Amino acid sequence: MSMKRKETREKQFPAKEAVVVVAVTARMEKFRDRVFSLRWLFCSLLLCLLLAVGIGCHDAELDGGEEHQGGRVIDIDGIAVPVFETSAEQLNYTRSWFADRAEKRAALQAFLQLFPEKEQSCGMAALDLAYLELGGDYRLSREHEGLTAIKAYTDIAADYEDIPQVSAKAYWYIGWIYADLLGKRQKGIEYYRLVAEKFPEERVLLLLPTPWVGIISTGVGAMDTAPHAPPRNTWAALALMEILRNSEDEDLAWSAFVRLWRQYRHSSATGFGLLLILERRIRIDRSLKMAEEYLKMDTSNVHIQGDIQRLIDDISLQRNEA
Amino acid sequence: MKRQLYEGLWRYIHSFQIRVFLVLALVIFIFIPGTGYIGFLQAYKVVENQMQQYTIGTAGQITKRINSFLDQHDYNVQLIKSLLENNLVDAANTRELLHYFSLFQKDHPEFVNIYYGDISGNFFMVPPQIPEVHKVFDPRIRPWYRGAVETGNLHWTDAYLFASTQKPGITVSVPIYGDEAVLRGVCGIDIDLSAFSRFLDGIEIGKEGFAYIFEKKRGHVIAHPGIVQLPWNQTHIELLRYCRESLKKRGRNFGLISFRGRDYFTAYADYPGKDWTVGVTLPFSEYYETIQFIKKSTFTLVVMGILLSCILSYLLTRTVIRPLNTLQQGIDRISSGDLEYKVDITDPDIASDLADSFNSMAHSLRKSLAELKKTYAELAEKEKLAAVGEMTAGIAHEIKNPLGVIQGSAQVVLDRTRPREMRERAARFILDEVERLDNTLKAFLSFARPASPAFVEADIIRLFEETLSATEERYREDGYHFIRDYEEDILPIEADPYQIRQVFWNICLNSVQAMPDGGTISIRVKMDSLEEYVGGADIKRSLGNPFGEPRDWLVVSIEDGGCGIAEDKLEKVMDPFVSLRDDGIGLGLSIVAQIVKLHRGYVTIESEEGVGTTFHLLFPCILKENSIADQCADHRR
Repeated sequence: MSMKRKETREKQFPAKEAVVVVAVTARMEKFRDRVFSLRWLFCSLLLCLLLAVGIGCHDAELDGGEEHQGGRVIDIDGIAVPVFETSAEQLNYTRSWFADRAEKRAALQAFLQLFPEKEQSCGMAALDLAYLELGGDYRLSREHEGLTAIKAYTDIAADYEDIPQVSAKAYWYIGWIYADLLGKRQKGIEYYRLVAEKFPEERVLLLLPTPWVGIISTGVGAMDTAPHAPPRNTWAALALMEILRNSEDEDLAWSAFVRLWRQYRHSSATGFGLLLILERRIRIDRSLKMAEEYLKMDTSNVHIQGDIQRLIDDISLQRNEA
Repeated sequence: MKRQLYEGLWRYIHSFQIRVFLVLALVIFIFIPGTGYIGFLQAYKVVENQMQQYTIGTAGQITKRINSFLDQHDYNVQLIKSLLENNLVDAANTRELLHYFSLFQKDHPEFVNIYYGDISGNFFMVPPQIPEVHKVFDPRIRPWYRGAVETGNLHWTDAYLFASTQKPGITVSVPIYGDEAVLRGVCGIDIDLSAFSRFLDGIEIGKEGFAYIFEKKRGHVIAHPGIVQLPWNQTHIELLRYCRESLKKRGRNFGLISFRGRDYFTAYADYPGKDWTVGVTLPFSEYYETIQFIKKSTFTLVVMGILLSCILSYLLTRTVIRPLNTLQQGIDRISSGDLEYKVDITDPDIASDLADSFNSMAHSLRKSLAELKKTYAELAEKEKLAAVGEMTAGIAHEIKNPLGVIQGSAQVVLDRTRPREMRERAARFILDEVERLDNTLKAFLSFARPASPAFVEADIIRLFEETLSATEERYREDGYHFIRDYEEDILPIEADPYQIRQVFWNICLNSVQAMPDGGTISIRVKMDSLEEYVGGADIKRSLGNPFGEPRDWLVVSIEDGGCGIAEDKLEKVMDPFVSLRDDGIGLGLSIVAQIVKLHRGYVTIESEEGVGTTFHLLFPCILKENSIADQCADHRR
């Protein structure tokens, strides 16, 4: 029995393992004594302090400032013009409001420099540039300004002859300047006739759909567009209307109206043309028939129809009186 | 192994130094950061409430300012109406109208367009429309015209984007009446809402905060600091969309919203009379800076508090523990016999007092020990004298009887009158008694002056067999049987073979004498621990075995089936001149006890009267070299 107990004791406490245990225990106690020595304690505390400072610095880095958002600009005659990524954005910028016309001019010139390959857009920009030659209010423009503008439009018409949207507008504007601003109606009519003959189907493009930032996501994109009515008039219809307005020759006026009636009956210019022809009492019988037919049409402008109706009533009254 | 390791670890953790330090550190690490965290949460809540008040208040202020701005335009358009209706400005005179409108626009740069449309469809505007538009433009179908005519009063349109400037705007229009309240036309002003954006851009809402106005229904941004001038800054548009979606889902007008890793406060206020919403959004981090300051201050204080507390707790434990350690060293030194050792502690005062008491105690111990030594020496002298007296009495008793027999026998031998046979028998008595006296004296001398043992490495079994070999045959003829039970791998002992043989012989002779009619004697040799046979208090430390405990012991047990020893005599059976037989001199077992003691061993006796007696002889085994080394190493540690 004692022998068995002896074996058990040997298993519990073999000599080598006992030495290891004693050594480990002694080392732990030694470690404790070292930790409680001043040098080690201060080293540990210094480490804690560095750790704390590190955390603090890391935290401070997280609170870092915002990114600076800058953009590229191009210098035109001392005016910094922002550069956009796309030609559409750049063109939209040229059509925004500027306090100073020089800024607008610089913006248009910048477009011409930046996107020369976009011919149609360049043509539009050139047209706007030419329009600036008339000053802030064309009603107050002087003759030389009109002539300068005509020269600019003439150059545009020549440069962009292969782009009808540009050249049609250029020719129409030349006619308008001659007729309305310089008082040279005949000269204006010549250009209007040119437009009517050369560009019978070219539509009047107003400003491009304008982006409007919205905070309701439409799912289409970040931009929304301002609602604008699609272009319904053509340069030819406007030109015919202007021929009708400016021509002293009734035959010329009538022929212009007939063409307007036949080709562009649903254009708003036709309504205005009908008013003019009725007011001038040109070919009154035929005009009245056309007017009655126009009144039966489904048009968007009921006020024009009302004006036409009033004129018809006046003419009828005059005839009855006569 | 593991258990020992755990015990070591347990002992380490439960050391006073570690416990004190851990408790202090635990309190510090919980209490200080806990206090700081609660303070931080409170500050966070306060700032959140302040931001709520601030953003909602700002939105309300913006609404008031915008209302006031729009009211100015109410006045302006009403002024134009008065001028036209009172014919102070002739509407039919375009030159006059142009002049007046141009002057008006110069005074109000926020007026994008000023225009007048009459009931005949004539339209006049400053600045002028582009000719291709103007030629076919009919004002009567425009919303501003129809709105003014339908209401008969001032009319504000919805916000829309001006085609000419691409900026959001709004039109205010008013009908112009002639005599007898006949409608003559409608005058309108297009107001550039960029003025709102400029106004909002001028408001400081923290460093990064901003206000904005948007249409509730369509979501179009009417005013925003980023749309003062092209190109529009759309940096915040995604954020505004996300804020609106989040607040809509929550059904609230105010809230904290996380967007791309940052938190933003956003508050909405409905604009009265219009389908507009005024929003204020500002990053939480701005106000969080205040909290950050509190947080950093708290953090710094926590770190400093922890460091300070650690140092203080360290110094405290050091102050408490170091004197205790010094005191423990003193106890160890005094325990090891160095009574001259003095503990030197000066600080703290309580420990110093303790050290003085300790040194005083050590001084008393020194004095007591000196007195004890003196008393012990005196006692030893007295015991020695008593032992000499007892021994002398024993010798006298042992010598007296033979001398009486010798005296009587010698008288018979000298008396020639006696028959020859009687005289010869008396002479033999004399020789027998002389021999007996000689044996007694030899035994006495052996006991009184034991020879110093000549230690050699001895095999105990071989010595026992050598002892029995001479007499076993003779005893077997007399009816005695020896039964052996030897364990294997018995370690050698340091012993004097002659003396050990004498021990064995004396015990075997004692066993034989206890069984006069023969019997069985069992001899068992084994290795065992000392505690099985000797009580802890009886274990004495020896020079070669300072610890006693880890050493192996060799146990020789000799058992007989004799008459046994009475319990009252069991304690005295080892004393000299104590014999249970009439013819014994009582020195055999005394010599055994003496020799075993010289061999640093022990003798124990188990006996039951009428059953038998067992002698246990215990001898320390020789330690192997590595074991000795281990023990020494342990001792050093």
